Amino acid sequence: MNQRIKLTIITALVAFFISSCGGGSSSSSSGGTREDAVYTASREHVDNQLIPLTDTFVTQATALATAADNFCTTIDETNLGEVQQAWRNLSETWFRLAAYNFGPMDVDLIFPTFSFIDSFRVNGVNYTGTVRNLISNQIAGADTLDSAFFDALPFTNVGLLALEILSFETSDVGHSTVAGNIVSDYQLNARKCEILAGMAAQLIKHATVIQNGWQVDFNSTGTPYRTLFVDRNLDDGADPVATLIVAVQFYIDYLHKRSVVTLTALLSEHNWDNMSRAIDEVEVLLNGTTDTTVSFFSLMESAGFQAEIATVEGNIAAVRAAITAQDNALLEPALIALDGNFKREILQGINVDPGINFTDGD
Amino acid sequence: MSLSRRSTLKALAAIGLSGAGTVAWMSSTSADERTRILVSAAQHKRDGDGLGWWDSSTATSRHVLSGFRGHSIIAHPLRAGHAVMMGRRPSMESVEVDLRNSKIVARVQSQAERHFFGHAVFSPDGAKLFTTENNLASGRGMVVVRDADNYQVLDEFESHGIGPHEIRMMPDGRTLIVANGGILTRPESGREKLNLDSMDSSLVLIDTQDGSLTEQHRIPYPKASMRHLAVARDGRVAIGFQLQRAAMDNDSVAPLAGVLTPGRSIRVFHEPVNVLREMRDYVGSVAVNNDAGVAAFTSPRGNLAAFWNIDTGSFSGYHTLFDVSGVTVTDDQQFFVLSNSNGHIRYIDANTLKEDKSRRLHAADVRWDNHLSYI
Repeated sequence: MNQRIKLTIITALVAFFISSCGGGSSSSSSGGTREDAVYTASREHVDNQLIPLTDTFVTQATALATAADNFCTTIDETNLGEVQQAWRNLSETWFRLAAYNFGPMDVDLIFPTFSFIDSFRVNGVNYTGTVRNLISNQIAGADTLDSAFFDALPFTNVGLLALEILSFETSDVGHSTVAGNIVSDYQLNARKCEILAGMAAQLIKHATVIQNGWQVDFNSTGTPYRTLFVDRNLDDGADPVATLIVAVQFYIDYLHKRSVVTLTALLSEHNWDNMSRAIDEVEVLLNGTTDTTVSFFSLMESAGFQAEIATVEGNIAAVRAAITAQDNALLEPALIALDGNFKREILQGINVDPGINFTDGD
Repeated sequence: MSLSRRSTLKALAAIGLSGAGTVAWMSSTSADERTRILVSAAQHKRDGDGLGWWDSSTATSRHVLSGFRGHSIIAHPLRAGHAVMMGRRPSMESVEVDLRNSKIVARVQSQAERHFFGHAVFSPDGAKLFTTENNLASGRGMVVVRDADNYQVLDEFESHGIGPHEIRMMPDGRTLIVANGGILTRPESGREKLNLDSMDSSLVLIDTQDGSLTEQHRIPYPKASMRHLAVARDGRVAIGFQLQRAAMDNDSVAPLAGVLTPGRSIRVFHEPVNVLREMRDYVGSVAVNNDAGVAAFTSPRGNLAAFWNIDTGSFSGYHTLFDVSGVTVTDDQQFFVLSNSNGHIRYIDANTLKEDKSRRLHAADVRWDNHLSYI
């Protein structure tokens, strides 16, 4: 018995149990039991996947800082390789976590946390030149490179991009990506290590904001966002399931609209791996984890949306094929098709309403 | 999806539908004494499209079914407790509703070869109704003039553009301001946009005496459709845009709001980029608070209302609310009022732009549609 069939049976049992207990139903014309199962699926996704990702992201940000510290203690190619691998791990986790750009990640619209991690996400602008200028200026400069200095930097100067540039190329005009040259660059420019350490520490701060917001205190409310989400008590009046699904749809839209695979993580040559993790995350959202009892796909299947599931799975397979081929000409239409699935088949399949004004304003 | 079964049943029992009886506050108070109420085109989740309003005496929403999706609602100046709900583009029907008795008292059809665009305004003396409409033969926008008492067509003139949308009266009581969205649609193709390559949006001032064009303004963003507006008492006009991204060759963030001082050019609000980006190319409604000198622009796609100071052009703040679109201002100018499709109504202090959470209202089974207004 495959995982989907198991989940479909469990989903039916969960629905029956909820119905028998008479609790938790709502006014939806679709019927309360299925609606509660949808909430169960979203809660399980948050608990089994999203929140652990926030922990992993902090852990990996810390690992990068540690690797940077080791490298700067003993500047050699081995330790540089550790820094680079730590960056790759962190970047891959970000491409998973970035699907959930709501709540703690963007509560401040003017200075959203995500922008200090991923400046490209803001408007699809590659700030490599900006970061390179900052690094070369600070290597030659005399500013005190303490936490106050890094706190004051705009989003265009910091985050994963800055750490990638610091880890994967030299600071001279040649911007060599040869490991030996990068090691020499650090040996010649002691302040570059200070910049690396400062940038890594800054990223830990922003990763911790996300983790803390989900698990401890959201936006100084004293309540974790997880609690608000699970209790269906989001301050913006949103349905949490709609928030989750629409956020992932926006993410897929962003991935193709901004040609992310052709414009980011190029120095590290990790662009396609990042894209793999992004599509992995979409699949986990729909299929659940090994701890999942109710997934969105199992809900759709139990409601008779097998054809729609097949359509979505076909488009996910097309995205994967494009990633394997490293072919952006194939990737973009596949992502556009998947984007459309989130606007139609998936919303319909789990009976989530993103709002009449959102979908059809005038 | 946020109610328990018990509270849902309670809410359903409290919500009156068409012909369900007289609203207590209306039957017990005169028209002059009555409290103005919040109205909106609305979808009742069980029963369908109509005109909805918040009944403060019972703290519930009420609903009159219309049979079509409405857009804007304006108070009828000659008949207290009556409102006119305009049909949403490309509707050929609008209705007058008697809120005292919860029933439709008149159905207004567009003429042959015309359809409504969802907005209208009465003349200051209450004698005439001006509606934005489409001339199906030519594709040109029209302003149709009707007798406000019986809705007979008296006259019509060009809107001096394509796709006229929101229409308001200027403080002089004689000049209309119309947002020509610039986008051609036809009933047979539904809401499909037929001329994105050549679209031409403009804001026009029209003399109601003869339909002549007195001013026409454009913005340097050819794919921005100016559609919604609000007029301050000093005659300045806050305008919201909708970008036609599909017709653009770039993904750059562009302004979505601005202000016109008649006789001058439109001043657009370029900052902050992060907020404009989050508004996702779309403004659904506009309102001006005269005392605070602040205009509100809602973006249901971005789940937020953004506020700009119309004196300085500076960004004043924002409030996040799921699928927010309706916005109006209380009579005392103390609050902006926002509504959304989850049935929420929120009051935002016009000076601090902070929400007064004690005033929250919620109609669980009602989706408040595009516009919110007081009558």
